[in-house]
Formats: sequence, C-alpha cells, structure tokens
Amino acid sequence: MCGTGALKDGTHLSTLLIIFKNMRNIKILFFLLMLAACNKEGVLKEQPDAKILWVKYFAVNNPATYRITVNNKPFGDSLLTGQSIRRPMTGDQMHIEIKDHHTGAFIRDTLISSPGNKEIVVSLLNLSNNGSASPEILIAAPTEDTGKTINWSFYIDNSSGVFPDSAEIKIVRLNVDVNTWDLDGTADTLATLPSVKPGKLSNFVSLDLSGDKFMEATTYPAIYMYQVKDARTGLFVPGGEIDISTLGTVLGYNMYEESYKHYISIMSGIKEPAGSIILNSVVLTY
Amino acid sequence: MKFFIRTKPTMRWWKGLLVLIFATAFSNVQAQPLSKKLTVSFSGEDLLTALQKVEKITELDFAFNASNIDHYKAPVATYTDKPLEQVLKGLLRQTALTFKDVNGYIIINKEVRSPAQKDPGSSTAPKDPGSIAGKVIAEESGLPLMGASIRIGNRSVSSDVNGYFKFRLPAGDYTAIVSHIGYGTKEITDITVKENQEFALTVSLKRQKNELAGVTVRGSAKKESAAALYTRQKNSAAISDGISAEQIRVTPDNNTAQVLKRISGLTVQDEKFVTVRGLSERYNNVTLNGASLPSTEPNRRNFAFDIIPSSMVDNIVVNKTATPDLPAEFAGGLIQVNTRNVPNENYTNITIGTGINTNSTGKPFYGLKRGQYEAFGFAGKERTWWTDGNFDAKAYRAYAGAGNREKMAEMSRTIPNTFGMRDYGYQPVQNMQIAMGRRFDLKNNQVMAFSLAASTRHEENIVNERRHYPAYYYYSDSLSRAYNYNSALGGLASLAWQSKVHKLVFKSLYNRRLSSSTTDSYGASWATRPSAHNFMNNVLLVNALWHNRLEGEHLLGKTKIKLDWSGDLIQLQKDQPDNRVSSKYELAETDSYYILTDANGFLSEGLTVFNATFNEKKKSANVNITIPFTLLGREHKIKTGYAFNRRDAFTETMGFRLYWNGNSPQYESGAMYKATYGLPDYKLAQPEFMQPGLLHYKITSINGINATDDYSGIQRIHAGYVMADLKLLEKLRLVGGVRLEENYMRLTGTTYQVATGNPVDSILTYNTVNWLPSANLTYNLSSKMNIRLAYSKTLARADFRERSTYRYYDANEKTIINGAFGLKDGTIDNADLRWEFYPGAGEVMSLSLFYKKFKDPVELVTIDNSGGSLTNFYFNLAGSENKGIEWDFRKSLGFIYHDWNWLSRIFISGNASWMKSEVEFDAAAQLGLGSNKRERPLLGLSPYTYNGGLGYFGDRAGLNINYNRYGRRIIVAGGFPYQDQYENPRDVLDLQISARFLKNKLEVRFNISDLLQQPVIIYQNISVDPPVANGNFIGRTADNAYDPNINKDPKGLNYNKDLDYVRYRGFKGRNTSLNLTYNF
Repeated sequence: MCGTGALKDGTHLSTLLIIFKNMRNIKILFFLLMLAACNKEGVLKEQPDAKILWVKYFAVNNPATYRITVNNKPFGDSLLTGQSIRRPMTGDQMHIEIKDHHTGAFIRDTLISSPGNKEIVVSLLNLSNNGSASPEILIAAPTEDTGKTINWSFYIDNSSGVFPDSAEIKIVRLNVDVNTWDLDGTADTLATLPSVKPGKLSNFVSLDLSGDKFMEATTYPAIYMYQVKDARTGLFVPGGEIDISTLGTVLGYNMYEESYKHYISIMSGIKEPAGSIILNSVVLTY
Repeated sequence: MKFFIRTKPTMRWWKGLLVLIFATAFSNVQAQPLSKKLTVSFSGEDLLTALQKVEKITELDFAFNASNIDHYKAPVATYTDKPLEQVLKGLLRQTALTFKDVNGYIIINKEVRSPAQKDPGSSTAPKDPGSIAGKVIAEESGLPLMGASIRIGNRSVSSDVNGYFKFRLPAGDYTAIVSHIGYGTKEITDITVKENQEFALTVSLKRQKNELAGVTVRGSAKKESAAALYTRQKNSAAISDGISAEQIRVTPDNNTAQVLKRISGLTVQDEKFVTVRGLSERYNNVTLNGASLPSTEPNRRNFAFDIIPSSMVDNIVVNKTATPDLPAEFAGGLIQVNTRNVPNENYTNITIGTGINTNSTGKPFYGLKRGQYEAFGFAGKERTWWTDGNFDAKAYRAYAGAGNREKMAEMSRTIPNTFGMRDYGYQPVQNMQIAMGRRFDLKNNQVMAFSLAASTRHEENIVNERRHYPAYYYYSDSLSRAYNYNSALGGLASLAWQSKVHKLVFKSLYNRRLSSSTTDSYGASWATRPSAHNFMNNVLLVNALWHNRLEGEHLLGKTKIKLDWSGDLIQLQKDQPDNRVSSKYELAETDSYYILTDANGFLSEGLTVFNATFNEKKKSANVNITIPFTLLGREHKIKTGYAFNRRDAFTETMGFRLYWNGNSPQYESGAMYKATYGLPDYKLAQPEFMQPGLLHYKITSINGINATDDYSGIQRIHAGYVMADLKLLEKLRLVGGVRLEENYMRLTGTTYQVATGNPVDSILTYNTVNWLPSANLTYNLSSKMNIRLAYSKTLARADFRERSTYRYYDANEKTIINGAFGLKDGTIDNADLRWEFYPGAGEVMSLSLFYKKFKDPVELVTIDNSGGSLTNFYFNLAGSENKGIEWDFRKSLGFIYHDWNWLSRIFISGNASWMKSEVEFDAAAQLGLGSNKRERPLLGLSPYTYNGGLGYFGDRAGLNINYNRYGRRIIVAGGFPYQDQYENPRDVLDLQISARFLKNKLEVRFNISDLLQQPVIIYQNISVDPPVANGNFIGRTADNAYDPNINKDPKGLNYNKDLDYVRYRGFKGRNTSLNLTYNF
C-alpha cells in the first residue's frame, strides 16, 4: 500500500497476528491497517537537466586540429578553426579536454560547473603564431544578468595591408523606427576604441544596448555599424566610412542573445581597384 | 399407519397440523398454556386416557404419535390447582416422552437422542451449542416450503417464508422429523451437531395426494441434502447453474470472484472478471439483488466481482437462457448475485490477507505523485483539480477563445504539477474484510436482521510489456514496464424484517476503486521524430458505486399469491482525473526532450493532461406477482410484472497539452526554447514556466475534428412481461411467455467551439420497442435426468458512450476510439437443447447444443491500420451466426470406492464449449470494402473454452486446482482479416490450499494464481518487418486484402511466433496470497 506498510515487515505482521488471535479489539486492527496504508512521497526519479555544449574554435595563424572529450567521452574528433560543435550534454560538471587530433597529445583542459539547462559556450581562441601553443579557453558561464550590455573585442587581420598600425574604431547604432522598420535618421555612438593594433586582440569595450528601442519592441537589434580611422591621422581608413546606402560596415550584431555577453570579431580588408572594402565577422561569442 | 392421533377421533392428523401451523402463526395472542392451572386425578389408567382427560380439562390441543404412547400407563396421582407443566412432568416422568408447548399446542413426542447425548435442558449441557440450519423445499418445483414443521427431540420449529429453519442444540447426534401439510414426512437421521458449528440440512418433501396419513420416508442427512441440492438444480425454470449459501459456506473463498470459479461454465479472469460460455463481457449481464449493475470498469462493460465479500452472498445463479421475468440484456449469461437478507445465524468474521506478485517483489515500483489516501481509493487533490470542479473550465475556454495568454498562464499556474516518476517500492497485497450479521427472532415468527460488511484491498503488480506499432513505435520488454496500483474500499449493509408472509429488506452497497496504471516504455520512434523514445502514460481511474435498494415480498392471504417489489437507486461516478502522458525523445541539438511546439498541438504528442468524469444515476422499480393455481391435479403458476429503469448519465472531458504560449514563434520561440531546453517533464510543468512567451496548458483533443467533448444521456426502459410456469404433463414443464421492453434514449453531445469556447449541442434520440418471447421446456426423463429445450430472444443494447461522437485517445494503444451515432441495438435469438443428469449431491453432468443468431451486434472495428496508429469505432454488423456445443460436469469421486469417505470429498469438474461463428456486414456501404461475409468469430467470442477443476473439500483442509483456457478471440475486429487483433489463448492454472484451525474458527487460505505464467499476447495474422525504420507489414497487397492468411501460416489463424505480428506482449508473473479468516 505504501512505503512503511506493516505487512511488508515481518515484525509488524506478527504483531497483527497476535492481536488477531486475541480478537479483542477490531479498532486496533483497523488502526494498524490505516498505519499500513499511510502514504509516502516516493523517491523522485530525477533526471539531470540537459544543456547544449557549444565548443567553438578560432585560430588566426594556427593550423592545429583538436580532438575534444567531455567527461572522458568523445565530443568532437576533428575541430578545425572556424568550426564549432554543438551537442546536448547532461551533467552538472563538464571536464573538457583538448587533444591534438593527429597525435592525441593532451593540450589543455578545463572543468566547468554547469548546473541547469543553460547553454554552455566554450570558445577556443588561438591567436598565436606558434603552432603548438595551447588555445585560450573563453567560457560563457550561465548568467542571471539580464542587462542589455555586451562586450566587444576586435582582432584586425591586416594580411591585406589595408589597416594602419593603429586604428580607431567607433561603434554606432543607426536607430530604426518601430512602426515602419526603416531607419529613423538618428544615430547613437556607443563606444570608441582609440587604438586597435592589427594582429592583437583589442580590449573589450562595453556596449550599452538599452537605448535600442527597436530591439526592445521587436527583440531584433537596430543596425549596429562601425567606422575605422587611422588613430594617428584621424583619417578614415579606405572603406572604413559608414555608408548608409550600402550598410557596408555592419558590426555583425544581428540578434540579441541574453546568454552571450562577449563578442570577438575579426576585421579584415580587401583591396580592390575601385577602393578597399573592410569586413567584420563575429567569430566567437560567449 | 396412523402417525398422529387426536383425542377427538373425528379430526384428521392433517387438521391437527393445520391447527399447529395456525397456532404457530398467532401464538402471540394466546396465554402461556403450560402455566394454566388444573385439578385432576390419575389412577393408573392408560397414558392415552390420562392425556385425553387433561386435554378436556384444559381445553388445549394435544398432538402425539399413538404408537409412542400405547404402552405407557399413567401414575397414580392427584394434582390440585397445579400448573399443566407440573402435571405433564408427573405423567411422563417414567416414560421416554417429552412435551412441548408450540404456540399453544401441546406436542408430546418421543425423545430422540443418542446414548452420548446430553439433555439440552440440563445443567450439564455444553455452554457453546451447535446448530442445525437449512431449508425445506418442494421436491417437484425446488421452491421453498414455508410452514414446514421440523422436530428434533422435544423441540420444533417452522420453516420461514424462504423455507429456512434453524435450531440451536447441544453437540450430539439427532434425528429430525420434517413434515408439511399436503406433503410427506421425512425422518432424517445421522445429524451430527458439533460445538460452535452449524450443520447444514436441506430437505425436499414430496407432495402427497389424497393420503390421510403421511408415509414417513427415512434417510440420512447427507443423502437428503444432496437430494435437495439437485432437486433445486433440476427444477430451475431455465438453463442455469449456480451456487448456494450452503455450498459457499464450505469453501474457503472470501470474495465472490473466487466463488464464481466454482460454477461450471464460467471463466474468471484477472481474479475478478467473468465470461460465460466464452462470450465476452458485452454479452453478459450482472444483477446484484435483482438490479442490473453498471460496469465498474472504464471503457469496458464488466463488473469486478472481487468487491463483494463471499460471506454476504446468499446465492449466485447464472442463467444461460432467458425467462420473461429476467432483464433481457444478455446472451452469454445473466449472473445474479443475491446477498444475504436474513442470516440463519449470527456471524462475525474478519479476514486479513497479504500476497505478492512474483514479477514485482523487490523491484522499484514507479508512479506519479500519489494522494494521501489513494491506498483507500481516494485520489488526492493534486489529481482531482479538474474533476472536483475547482478549475473553471468554462472560463479557461473563454480565455482560450479570446487568446488571452496572461489569463491562460495564470490559470495554468493553478494546475498542479504531478509529472515526474517516483519510486514507492513494491508493496505486497494488503486486504482486510469484516462481515457481521445479526438475527433477532421476535414474537410470532418474526425476524429482524441486519448484515454489515466492510472491505479494503490494495494490490500492486508490474507487467513487462512489449509493444510494436510498425513504422511508428517499438518498445522493448527488457525495460518497458506497466506499474499497476489498485485500491478498493467497499461496504455493504442490509436491514431486513420478515414475518411468515411478509418480508422487507433495505440494502445498501458502496464500492470505491482506484486504479492507477503507469506505463513506462522504452524503445524507438519513427513517427514524429525518429529517435530513441521514452513513453510514460499514467491512467488514473476512480470509480465509486453506491447502490440502495428497498424490496418487499408478500404472500397474499390464503391464495399463496406472491407479490414482490423493489426500488433501486444506483449512483456511479467514474472519474479519470489528471491522466498524464509524457512522450520523451532523444535530445538533439535543436530538439529538446518533448515536443512543445508543433503544427497541431494535439493529445498524441508532448506532455498532455486528460480529464474525464462520468456520472450516472439509475433509478429502477420492479413489481412482480406470482399466482399459483391447480389444474388437472397439477400445480401451475402465472407470473406477471413490470419494471422501470431510468438512467441519467453525464460525461465531461477536457484535454490539455503543455504547449508554447506565444503569439509569433519567430519572436519568442527562441526564448522559450532556451528556457525549456533539456528540462525533464516535472520541471517544465512548474508554475514559473506558465508565462506568456513560455508555456501554458493548451486545450486540445486528439485531432482537429470537431468531436464531442461532453455528452449526456437519458435512458428510460419500461418493461412488462407475462409468463406461465405450466406442468403440462407430470414430467413435462413449460416455462414461457413474453417480455416487452420499450427503450427510449436521448443523447446530447456538446462540442466547444475553439474560436469562442461556446458549447454547441447536438441531440439524438432513439426509441425502440422489443417483444422478447421465451420458452423453456423441461422433460423429466427420470428423477435425476432432464432434457430441456429453450428459446429466447434477448438484447445487446448500444450504450451512451458507443453512440456518442466523443473521441477517446488511448495513448498506450496509440488508438483513437470513436463513438458512432446511429448505432442500432443488437438482438439475439438463442436456442438451447440440453440433456442434464444429476447423479448426486452437487453433481451434475450436462450436454448442450446452442445456437445464437445476432442481429446488428455492436463491435469495435478498425479500418485505419496503416502501420501502427489506429482509429477504432463502434459499428453495427449486419449479423452473426454462432453454433456451439457445451459439456459440463461436476462429480464426486466417492463412487470409486464407497468405504473411502475421503474420496467422496474430492470433486472433479469440467466445462468445455466449442463454437463456430461467422459474421456478416454491409461492407460496401459501411466500410467501403468489398466483402460482406467473413468466417470469423464475433468480437470477444472464443471458438472454444475449457475449464477444469479438481478439489478436495475436507473438514480441516482443502485443496483446489483450477485450469482454464479460452480460444483465440478477437479484441478489435478489422475491416480486413489481417487487421483482426487476436488475444492468444493462455493456459491458466490456479492452486488453492486451505485449512481450518482453532476449532474451525480460523481459516487459512493460500492461493497461487496463474502458475504457468504464460504471457498475454495480442497478435494479427500477418507478418511484419523487424522493428526498424520503415518496417511494416509484409505481403499486403490490394489483391490479397481479404485473405485471412496473408503470411501463409501453416497454423492458420492460430498464433505462430515465427510468422505473426505481435502487437502486444505482457508478462505478469504469478500471484500468491495468504488469507486468514477468523469466525467469531
């Protein structure tokens, strides 16, 4: 009947029998039966929360291919730069090991506490020119921070030779009318990075998105753009001007993601006869 | 020989008896005769002369046997103003005679006692007497004889209106003399009364014609009881079998289902359900104390007999053919259970028991969150939030119609979160039963009595289940389990008053059952999302039945016209509260465990909650009058009566699915997905998730078709009948007549519009009139042998559920069950020819041929079997013909060697029936198929049934082995032969050992049921691919659609494990139980 059922227990059963033999008081028997029938909560068959583990990898000059294991189980066999592996996982802790795909040699590991069901994003960033250097592990831990502030960092790949030694990058939001979904003609400057050096990850700059009325209304961000100047001369780097007609220098921030607070983008240039083009691609978020 | 003489020689002995009976009837108006004072002198004359002198002085009536008195002389004595008692003591002191005042009539009799017998009136008599109780019946009719005189020693009693009598006597050996006006006299020897025990004695008396002095027939008690038993059997009006209180008393059975196992022709399934002659539940009917009972089971028309304690049962009669005075709705059998009105003796007993299931012991036992009192049949408030009316369904429908997501979320938060499997650990069977009866003998042979019984039972079992729905799902039985949790609580009370000619009884029965079945299946899905699949389905059912009945029986004047009447009020509530389904898939990168958004949001996916409540009130009234008359020197009877039944039923349902609560998925589904991804069901159903943009409980059904959500019905049946019981010849009896039943049914279906939440009603009415003739002709080939010929027309009506367009989704079966309006009532023409032989006590041998022609029988049919997901619906076949033969026997082994008494206590019994059946339907019009006739059994009908039993019934110990097997039977019929779902035969062997201790006060019973533990298999006669993606039936083409044996199975329609598709396989293990009963 229920957990502490008297009849399950031999001692209780014999007690019942003795009373039964005496036959003095039926009420006692009923009372015992009621006790036997008492209910218990039962033990909940707990199931661990599952979450997505998203391992991203970006290397600039490093051709290494990684083998990833999580809690000693294969997670990804050959992770190339620019690729990511996204897979559901369970467990409140994840021991992530990074090994060389070819040799299986251990490169580095990390232990992540991962309670709940929030997505875990692990970014492997290797900006070293040294092929055997271990990647930096950037982890987006689940956060309760619902403030609309994100952090942005640029890495300028100047293999095209378009960029100067030091670039000033300004991030601008072009506001969008909530009703018409067209640009409303206003703009807000969110941040300026005065000196970003090619081949080196810039510091993170904080972008406050709370003034984005369009995003507040629709969950879609307005249009975020950047402009690039030569930090020394203050002149625009060719292709670094904001052109509303083409929206060429879009930042790449297209979707508000509550769980991602850090964005790393690669800025690169293309020289063309008609002039240069500057592109910016988000390569890691966490 | 003159048996009695009177001092007034002109009076015949039978007149004396008449006076005796008359005096007995009105004794309460007379003074105490033995205290009457008189003055008399005796001078040594004959005792006869002395008694005549006393009789004259006192003006009292004396009765005695002249042969007993002839050789005695009176003493010389004078009594002056002395009480008659003192005078008679003095007169009879030196004789072996005793005297007794029986209602003012002085009986002088020879004392009958064994040498060892003690005087019942002496101070040395034992403190705990025994008793003799039984019944006096007429040998010709088997009917009870009221007013029969039963004398033992110097004591005498009369039988009551039911023929019952009872003595309390000290232990010893006795002889009883039983007589009745117009009947012979029997002297029954070998009556042995033991302390605290009741000796059962049933006596049949033969009617005497024109004989002034009765002939005394002598026989032993054992032989006489035997004779009486088969007298009743062979004199029943119709073909029937049954068991009496006397027979039940000697068995260790403690509930009615166990008792029913002992009746030939019945198969008891799952320790509680009964089938008769292999016909399924649809074609059996159950009456309790004469009132038809609603089903105790959901979606089944069946009655769980284990709810009635055997100690409350007076008798059970199973009619296999109809008579006009019986309810007409049966074809297999009418099982009439009658509880005790007036107990023969006071009794109190208590039973406590336990038991285990071998497949469950020591294993985790899972279920959803339980209420505190589920063990007693009461679901907790967390499960009854909808059925108890606390959830405003009307408001919720309005909010849904208006798209008010805030309000829907707010109300969704009030729905308790009962998801989440919990391990409670397997608990053994626990059952307890208390029953008591008290009898108060009042003046003037009036009796007041009451009986009370209460019982509680709880049992659990685990079933290993394998299910295969080709191309859709496969669940392996290595992991998949069904956890069945059942509790029952019952009470029964009756209060009766009885006089010589009147009887009034009030009875009340309450039964409550809770069954919670949790299926936890593991396997693969290839349907919505191909992946590993875990399917959980918890079906909680709570039934409460309350039956009140007032009945009366009256003998009107000297005409012996019998009037009986009854009124019943039955209330049944069947709730299916908070049924939860959790369909869990393997996690994928973009897909969580459960489907919370899809195109339809129907009940067949994701996390669902289904609620249903069914209420039925049934009122009925019956009156019957039986008029006996004599014609051509033979007794006949005419009986007529009227019955009225009204049923008011109301069903409400509401299905929910935990579903995304957003307006536009492109905006909000991302957030919902992230918030809910990877969480188990019990976390998703937490109130904090019930928010706009996250989740809510969406009102849903099984599909988008506008089916009925609620339905209510009214049924009125007026029935009247006339029947005659005619003794056409001395050995030829005809019981026949006609019953008229007018049935009116009105069914109102309510569908709630999705857009507005407003109800839309649809009303259907049915009105049918059925003339139902029946005739039972019995010819006595000898005193122990009959041949019977019977015809009857009976009914199998469609019920509310079957006629409603309501669509029920059976999640375990992945099947939709549709009602169908326009269903006609089925009628059945039954014909039986039976030879029966009653060789001895409780022994019977019979051979029957029977024919049943069904018109418009209702079946559950499926035509949509594209691989696994089914749609079943109720359907009228055009007809069905069934021919069968039944063989039945119950025989003691005492005939083998008479000196071995123990052999006579061993009974061997068996019943076998074979049937050939075919069905006919208007396939083209009704199913869009091409064939109108199929040689297949009717739904639920087995082509054969075997029952066998071997039992030893000793005074101290008993052993009983029962075997049964019924042939493959269709549980869901298909439009095409390969779609027929067959239940494979199982050999079921039950063993029962019983013993009595503590001067027979303690009974111990040990049962093992289903010793062979063969699996339950549901199969179809077609081969199937292994359970892999895209697997399906093999060899099915348009050309062979009507081939009943597509897979060329050498075993034909029988199950072939190598070839046939197995839809379900369940393994239950064995059940063992131990019960102790103490009789106070």
